[in-house]
Amino acid sequence: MNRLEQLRAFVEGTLPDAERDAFLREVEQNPELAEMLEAYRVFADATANDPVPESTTSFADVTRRTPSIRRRLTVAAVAAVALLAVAVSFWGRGSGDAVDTGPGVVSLQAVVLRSPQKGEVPEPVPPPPELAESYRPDDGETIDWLDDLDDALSIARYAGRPVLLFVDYPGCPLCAMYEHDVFPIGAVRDAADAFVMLRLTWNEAPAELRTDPSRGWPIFPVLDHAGKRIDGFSGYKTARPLERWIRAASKRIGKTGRFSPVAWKQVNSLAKRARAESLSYADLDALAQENPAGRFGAFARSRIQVLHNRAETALRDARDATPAEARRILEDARKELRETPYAHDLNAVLSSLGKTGAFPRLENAK
Amino acid sequence: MVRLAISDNHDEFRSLFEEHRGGVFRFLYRLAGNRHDAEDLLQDTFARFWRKRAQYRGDGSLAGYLRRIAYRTFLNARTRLARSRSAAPIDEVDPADGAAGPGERATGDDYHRFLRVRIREAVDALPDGWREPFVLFRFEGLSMKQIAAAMDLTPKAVELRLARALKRVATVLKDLQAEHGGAR
Repeated sequence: MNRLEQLRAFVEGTLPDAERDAFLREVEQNPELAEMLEAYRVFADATANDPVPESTTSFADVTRRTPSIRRRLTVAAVAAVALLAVAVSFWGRGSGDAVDTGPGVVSLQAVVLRSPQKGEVPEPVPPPPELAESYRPDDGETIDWLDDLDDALSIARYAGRPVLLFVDYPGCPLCAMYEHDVFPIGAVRDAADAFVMLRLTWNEAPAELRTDPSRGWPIFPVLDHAGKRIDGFSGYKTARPLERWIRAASKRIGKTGRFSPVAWKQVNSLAKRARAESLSYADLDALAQENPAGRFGAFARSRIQVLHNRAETALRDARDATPAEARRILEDARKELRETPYAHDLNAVLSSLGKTGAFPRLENAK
Repeated sequence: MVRLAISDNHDEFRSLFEEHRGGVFRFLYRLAGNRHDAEDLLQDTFARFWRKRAQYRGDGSLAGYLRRIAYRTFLNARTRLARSRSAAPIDEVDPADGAAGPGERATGDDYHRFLRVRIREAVDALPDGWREPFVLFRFEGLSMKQIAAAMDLTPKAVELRLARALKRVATVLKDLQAEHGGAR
């Protein structure tokens, strides 16, 4: 019996005499335990007469809820039709038309849409501090998904772990089963700790990662720190097979190192400092230049990188979106990035979009 | 019991349902906080158990297995439930309990009633992840291991959450006592 169980038994008067004296001595010596005991006693007193009503559910109520074969077939048919409709809507939309047909040209000054070159290993940067603060792989009741590719790659570089991407689509029944029956399982969460876990919907995932889903939904590509697909599978696995697959993939890739808690602590402390000081872009830029080799300089560069990623993501998303959506995406980003050099580029794209209605060609975008 | 659980026989399932209905209902009632949702979840729990009866391997107590299904069912439904988050369902709280508010100079029994109401509120205000194990610990008399098995956590994690919940409630109580120190 642990201390809390002893506390409960003491309040309920069921603690054996031999343990009772020892427990009381401990309460006398430990004021925190004494306070907890008092709180539990008051709550127990407050709820001493809380009766539970009798259930009126009958066996027939339960059997009515058990779906018949006919109902299951109907649900499967509806799901198949929904899947077809979603697939048609995505394939029919296409991508990149706005870039090719737009007559305007915008020269980007601050944002360069650039893919990593072959063989290039980006410089390790700390993860964005707001993520470092919230991303705690061991603390949740289900997998702690990130929802932004750039942020996930940034963390992957810093943590030395590959990214396991979960690509789903709205209304995907197997994805819902994963969510309810597989991801909350402790063994799966433990295995997933060897990866940076990222979840994107089909239209959010980059085109090169949208692998053929003919072998089933959802898709689980594994990415290296540069965003290149290095492994993966698709379809449904229950908890145990998924856990085995994740561990095997982790072994294959050879990146099993867990993130050092000390490093998390450092990043978290930086994040707290940044929040307290509310650093502007100009301050961050100055810090990055003043302290190029130091920890704070690295942090400032990572903050700037986050802002840069935000602008890049907005431009990418806007390029693939309808004009109305593009305008909304760009305006949101411009609002967030005001007083940074990126606002200028976003402004230029917005004004060109306003004149022609089509997305302009971006100069300097590689 | 294991034989019944994996059997396809409806009569045997019925007797199993009758045997465990009360315990599972009580468990769900404490989590959901009201009778209507608890009844709904009870039906879902047993329907789900029936559909997945082949998966039960009989390597633990059936009551524990059912609690686990019930908790999972509750989690799935938590967002859609119009749940009264009361540790003691609201329709059973005596309205007179709130008679002595913090602004009043309560004494004796009034003061204790006031404390009880505020402590209930403090428990209701706990985060779900703390409140649920706390409520099961208080009302269901479950051990740490049993709560951990139902919630798919480790016993240590349950202990940690319970301790945090209790510390927060203790802080509220301490503040109330400091504020109304002279009332007792």
